[in-house]
Amino acid sequence: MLKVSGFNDWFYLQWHITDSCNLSCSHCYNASVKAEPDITRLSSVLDNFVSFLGRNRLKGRIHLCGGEPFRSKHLFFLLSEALKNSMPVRILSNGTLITQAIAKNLKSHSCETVQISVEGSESIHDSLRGPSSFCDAINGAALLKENKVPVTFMMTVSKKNAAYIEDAAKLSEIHAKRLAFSRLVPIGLGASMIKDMLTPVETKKIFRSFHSLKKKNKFEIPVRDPLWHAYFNKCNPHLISGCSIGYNGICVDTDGSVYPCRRLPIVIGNAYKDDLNDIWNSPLLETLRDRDKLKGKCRKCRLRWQCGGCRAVANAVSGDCLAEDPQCFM
Amino acid sequence: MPIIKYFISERAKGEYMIKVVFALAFYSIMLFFNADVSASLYNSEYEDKFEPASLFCLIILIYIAGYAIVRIKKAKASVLVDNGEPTPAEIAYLNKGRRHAICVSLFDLIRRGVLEIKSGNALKSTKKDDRLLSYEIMLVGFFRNEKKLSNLLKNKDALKNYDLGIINSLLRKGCLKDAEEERSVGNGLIRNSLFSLLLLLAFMFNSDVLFIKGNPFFYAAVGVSIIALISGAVLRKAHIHSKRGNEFLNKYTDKIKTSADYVSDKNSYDPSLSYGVAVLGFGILAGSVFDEFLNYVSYTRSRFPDSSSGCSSCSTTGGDGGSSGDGGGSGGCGGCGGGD
Repeated sequence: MLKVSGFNDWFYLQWHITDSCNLSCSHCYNASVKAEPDITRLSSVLDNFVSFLGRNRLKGRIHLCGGEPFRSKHLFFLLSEALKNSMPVRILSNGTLITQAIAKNLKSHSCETVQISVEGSESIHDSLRGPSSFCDAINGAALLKENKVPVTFMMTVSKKNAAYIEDAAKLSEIHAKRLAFSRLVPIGLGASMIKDMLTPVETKKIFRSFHSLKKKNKFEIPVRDPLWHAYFNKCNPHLISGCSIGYNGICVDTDGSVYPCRRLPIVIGNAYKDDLNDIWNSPLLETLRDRDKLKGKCRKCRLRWQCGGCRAVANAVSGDCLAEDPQCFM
Repeated sequence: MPIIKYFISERAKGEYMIKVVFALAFYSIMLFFNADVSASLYNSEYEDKFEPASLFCLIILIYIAGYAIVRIKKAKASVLVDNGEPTPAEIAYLNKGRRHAICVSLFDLIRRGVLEIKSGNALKSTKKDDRLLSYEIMLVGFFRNEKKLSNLLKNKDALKNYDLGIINSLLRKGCLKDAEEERSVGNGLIRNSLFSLLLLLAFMFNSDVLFIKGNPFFYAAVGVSIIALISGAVLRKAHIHSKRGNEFLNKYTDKIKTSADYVSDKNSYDPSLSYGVAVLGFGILAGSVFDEFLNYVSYTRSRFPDSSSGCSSCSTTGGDGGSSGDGGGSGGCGGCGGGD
């Protein structure tokens, strides 16, 4: 059957440029600190990505993250290089290290967005991310807004903070252009929080909460989780959308390891030595592209091609990246 | 000799047969009026079979049926001038008619860079010359200044010109039966069935032959005349697909349904997508990277920007799956920092 892409025009590279971080968040997907990549290695990844985009006639976007990306001394070099290649850059940060000078510099480097993690109220944020992290993050967001750098707040939703969506919305009203959320994926340090994962019923409830916010607030709520398709339950059998794995993004870690998604840490190559084009044709990605190969209720679901479920959540819970999404409420 | 050729041509054969049937009908009427009705009714041992009223109604039935069979059979022949495959818009016309064909034409022209998208759901022609077909030239001319799809659908002249262009192209490719022939058959059926009905009514109200009302042949003749009248009206309006046209439609439907194609590049032209929307409707674009095009090429979407449907009249998916409004997740998950 003819399939049509529902993915964003921009192919994203989620690029971990440092493992160093000033916080130790309880749900972090990173558990180990690897050596800092030097500028040569970072440049080789960028060249590899530019070549990959050219060969596949794609437009690229870079999501720089860590660790805490503002701890990397190469951050602004990479921003400049991306700018030279006409690639928009988003920075995924905890927001706590942003100063007036950094905010100005980001503006001058045409940084598209800085995504700052916010977990709801101050108390819940600090309990998950560490003391005073909330105030520092909000200060960072305020400085970015002052310097006209768009801010997205990102909430990682679990049983611990599901009740604080309204708090995050109030903060977004003041400081952010968008409020996004993602579901907790219990890997890395976050593996210990597996009991805090939302049940399917609770998951649907948070989708409902975000949907109601989308209707009444002036900030944007991106509908990015694959389960939005299940929430709206409208079927276009020709649409391929939802989970981006194998379609419009890839992740490179600090040691060059390439993953289908950062939260699905199965190594499919190394960007320091392998051609991204070859990695893109790896057997695992080929398998993940074929949604008819999914298992459990995802396999039988009529929305599998437009949703696909979250492969990272499935893998974290069952150890099988093709398993059904355990939080699906369909 | 041309006159001999005329008499042995298919057209002449059909018309000649009709004239013979007509003559027989009049002859039976004359017999009916001259006959001693009561004698034929009550004295003949063959009264059930040969009564003049039954004979008359039978002739009406044969006449109408004969006319329809001969003319419709003749009209099935289509003339192939152009051996080319139908374009996506032509497939759309065969599939769902003019409005869908116009939407597909516009979508195809935008994708080919001949029309460009402007603010406020408007379209405008570019200077790109892309070997346009006659009905495409009409569209490009219409959008020389910024206009919307709704402007086009309100312009009767433009619609008529579009119709003429696309029908002519389909006729040349042998995908439609000759529209003139269809109209002629329709007109003939209407004329002859009306004539038959009038005759039957005249008999019904003639007090001398009131018995005709109880005759089963009478009801059959009235029924067939009415059916012929309706069929004639339908034939006058519709363009009937030729066998070749249906074969193309089936071919593209199967091709799209069994295709392994994955269309993801918004910036390069891929005819398979245009054929896809022609066959399956604009609903297949809802929620996709081409979703924004629906604001320009879907009449429903252009009027109601928050609707998630492609075009309610075209969509095979019932307008589901759109990302506009509350249609569903859009853009893919985008990893940890995605979403638009």
